[in-house]
Amino acid sequence: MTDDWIDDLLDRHPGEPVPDGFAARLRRRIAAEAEGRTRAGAETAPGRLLRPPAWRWSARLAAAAALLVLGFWLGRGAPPVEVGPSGPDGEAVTAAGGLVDSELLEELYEYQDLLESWDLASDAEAELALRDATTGTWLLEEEGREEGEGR
Amino acid sequence: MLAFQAGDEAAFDEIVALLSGRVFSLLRRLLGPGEPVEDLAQEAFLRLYRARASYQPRGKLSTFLYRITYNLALNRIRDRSRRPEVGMPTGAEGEAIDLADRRAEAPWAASDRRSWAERIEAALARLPENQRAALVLQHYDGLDLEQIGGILGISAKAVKSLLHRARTRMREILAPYREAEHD
Repeated sequence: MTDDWIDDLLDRHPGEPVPDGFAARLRRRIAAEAEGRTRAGAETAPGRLLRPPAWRWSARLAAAAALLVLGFWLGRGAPPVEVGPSGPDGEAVTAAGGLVDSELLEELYEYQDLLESWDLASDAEAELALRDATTGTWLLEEEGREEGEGR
Repeated sequence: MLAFQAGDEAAFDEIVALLSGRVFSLLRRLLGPGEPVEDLAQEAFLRLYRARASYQPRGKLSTFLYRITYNLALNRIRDRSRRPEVGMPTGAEGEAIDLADRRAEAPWAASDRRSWAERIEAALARLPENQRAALVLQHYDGLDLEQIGGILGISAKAVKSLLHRARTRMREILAPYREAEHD
């Protein structure tokens, strides 16, 4: 079987006749739509007349710019806000993210005076001490002696 | 259309006179029997009228109008499948019989009552929308694969595939009628 018979059968469909007066009805619909659009345009026209003049837009723009500058200036003058990380109940949080042990803090505060009075050797002094040959030798001799005694 | 774009209103009347028959037939073949088509035909021409300013004469005007018509028909088919319409035929119990039921009707049932036009419409109605549109546009309107693809929004290759499936299905549906006629 070929497709020819299908085409032959399809050809038996005569198509849909255009009903009488279709063009006139279409014209009426187009006219009605155009009329509706004109009416809608006329209704919106007074609104257009009430639109604020250009100087009002300029004034609004100037006010907005002034507010923006004021906000920026106030933001710069305020002290920097430092909010440290805190736990759910407001406890201090270490840099590693863990909560600080309150007992440890108390101990540290207990020895605060001692810690403050402790005169730590500076890095420069420590370096000089290492460079001291006598001290160095002595240290090496001490170590050598201990090793000899161990044998 | 160019004359109409230039402001010649009479040119639009000529377009309507020239193409309204094709639009009505396309709608009837796409929507199936018993479906009112005039409102959609009016809508198609109304949209063409509105598109006067934006219309670009890149292809044939008829192809442009077919695309509008096809989209309107597709919307109607989808609306119809979502809800049963008022005035649809009802069964013995008063329940609505939708077109799917009518499509499922055995082809030989009540065949004597039907004219060939109705049989073809019913057979077309049993095809998926895109297959139906491809077949109708090719057979009745003589469009090529590219033009049909432009209307359906698919490639020419996809149109070819649709046409093959549509013809196979139509053969299956219409073969009993043909055999009955030859007997």
